[in-house]
Amino acid sequence: MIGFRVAENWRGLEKSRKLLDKEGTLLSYTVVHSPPAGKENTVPFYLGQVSLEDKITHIMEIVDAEKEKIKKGARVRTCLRRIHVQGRKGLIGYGIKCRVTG
Amino acid sequence: MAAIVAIGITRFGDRWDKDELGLAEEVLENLKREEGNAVKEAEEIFLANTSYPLIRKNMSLQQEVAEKTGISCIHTFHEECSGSIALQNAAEAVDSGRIYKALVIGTDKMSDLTSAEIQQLSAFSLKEEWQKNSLSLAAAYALLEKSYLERYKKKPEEMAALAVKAHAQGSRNSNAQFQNVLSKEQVNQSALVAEPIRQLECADWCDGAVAMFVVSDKEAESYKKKIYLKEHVQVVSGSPLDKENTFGSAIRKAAGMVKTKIEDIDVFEMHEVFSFGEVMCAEGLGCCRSGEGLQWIGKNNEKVNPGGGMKACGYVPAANGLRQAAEIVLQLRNAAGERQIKNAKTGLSVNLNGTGEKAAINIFSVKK
Repeated sequence: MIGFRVAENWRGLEKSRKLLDKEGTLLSYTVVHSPPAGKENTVPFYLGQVSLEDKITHIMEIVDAEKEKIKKGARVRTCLRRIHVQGRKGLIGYGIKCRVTG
Repeated sequence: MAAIVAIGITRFGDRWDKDELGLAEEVLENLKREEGNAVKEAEEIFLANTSYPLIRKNMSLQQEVAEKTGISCIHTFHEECSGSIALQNAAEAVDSGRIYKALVIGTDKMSDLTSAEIQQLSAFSLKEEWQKNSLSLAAAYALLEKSYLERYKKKPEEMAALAVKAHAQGSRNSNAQFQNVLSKEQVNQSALVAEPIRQLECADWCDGAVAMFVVSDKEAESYKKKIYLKEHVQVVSGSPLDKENTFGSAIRKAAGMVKTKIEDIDVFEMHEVFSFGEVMCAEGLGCCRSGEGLQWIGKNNEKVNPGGGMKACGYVPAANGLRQAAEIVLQLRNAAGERQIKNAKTGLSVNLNGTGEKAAINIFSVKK
C-alpha cells in the first residue's frame, strides 16, 4: 500500500474501533477483477458501498458471504480483517470489512 | 483574453525510450515547428505533471525543465485536471499583465507501472480510507455506473456503443494510441475489470506530452493561428459516492458558472477515463436530461471527442486536459483533417478528477 506507515495505522485504531461490530445496509456493490497492488492473490473480490448506523457511506470489502446473499439492501455487520501485508517480513495491517448477515 | 497561438503534441502510448523530461523536450521541438520562437520568447513555463510527485515521490522536474530551457518553470499539480488548470493559470498570468507570453507543458510517464500499481494509483484522488480499503478508480466508476443503470433501467451492454464510437474516431487520429476499430461484441466480450465495466471500456494509462504557447490579447494580434481561451472555471465538490451515487455536482456547478450557452458549442471534449464518463459529462453539462446521456451522445457523436477521446488517445493524467484543448484548437483552426467538424467556432473541454469531485471547464473560441 502506497503511503502505509506504522504511526498512521496506529492513529487509525480509534477510527477502526468506532466502526467495528456495527450493523448496516448494503447500498451497492461491485465485483473487482482487476485488483490494486497487494490484492493480486484475492481476485475477484466484492467491494460494497455500505451505510452503517452513523449514516455515513463507507466503502469496504465484503467477506465470508455466498454470492447469492450479496445484493442491494442486504444487512451487513462490520468485522476486523487483514487489509495489508507490508512485504514478506513486514507488518500486517488490519482494517474494517463486512459480512452479510441477512 | 489569452490566446493559444501554437500547439505541440507527441504520440501517446508506451514510450519506452523517453522519460517525462524527454517527452517534454520532444513536445517543445514539435511546438517549435508551429512557432519557432516560442521557447525563446516565453517568460514562464506552467508545467503539469503527476508522475513525479505520485510515483517518483520527487518534485524536481520543474527545476530540470527550467535548467534545460532557461525559463522559470512552475509545477502545477491538480491530479488529473493538472493540464487544464495549468492552462488556466497561464491564461490568468497573461491576462493580468504580469507576463505576456507563456508556455504550458503537460508531460507524464505511466507505462513503467504494472496494472495493479495503476489500479492502486488511480485511486489517489478518492478518499484515503476508501483507497486503503482497495477501492480503485475503476471500482468507483463501476459503483456509479451500476447505480445509473439501475436508476434508468438500462443494460450494461448499451454502454459499449461509447467505446465503439471512441475507437472509430481514434482511427482518424494519427496521434491516438489505439487506431483500431472495435465492434460492440468485442467490447462486451472483453474481460471484466470491475462489474459492469469491461477492459475495452477503460482508457489505457500511458505516456505522452502536450505543449501550448499562450500569449496575451495584444500579443495575439501578430499571430495568424490564434484561438482564444474565452472562459475557464474550476470547481471542487464532495464525492458522488457519498451522495447516493448522484454524480456531476462539480460539473453542474462549473457549467452554471460559464456564460456561453451549451447550444452554442460546436465541439466537445469530455473526460472519459471510462466510457461511462462521457455520459456523466453530457448530463452534468446540461446537454440533455438525466438518464438521456447515451442517446444524446449517439445523436451528436461527431462533435463529442472527435479525436477519439481518452479511450482511443490514451490516458496521460497531466496531459489529458491539454490534449483536449489541442484537439479543440485543431478543430477551431479548421485543421483537423478527416475528423474536421464543419464550421466549428466554439469548443468546450471538461476535465475531471477522480469520479468528478473536481471539474475544470475551458471554453475556446475563434473570436474574442
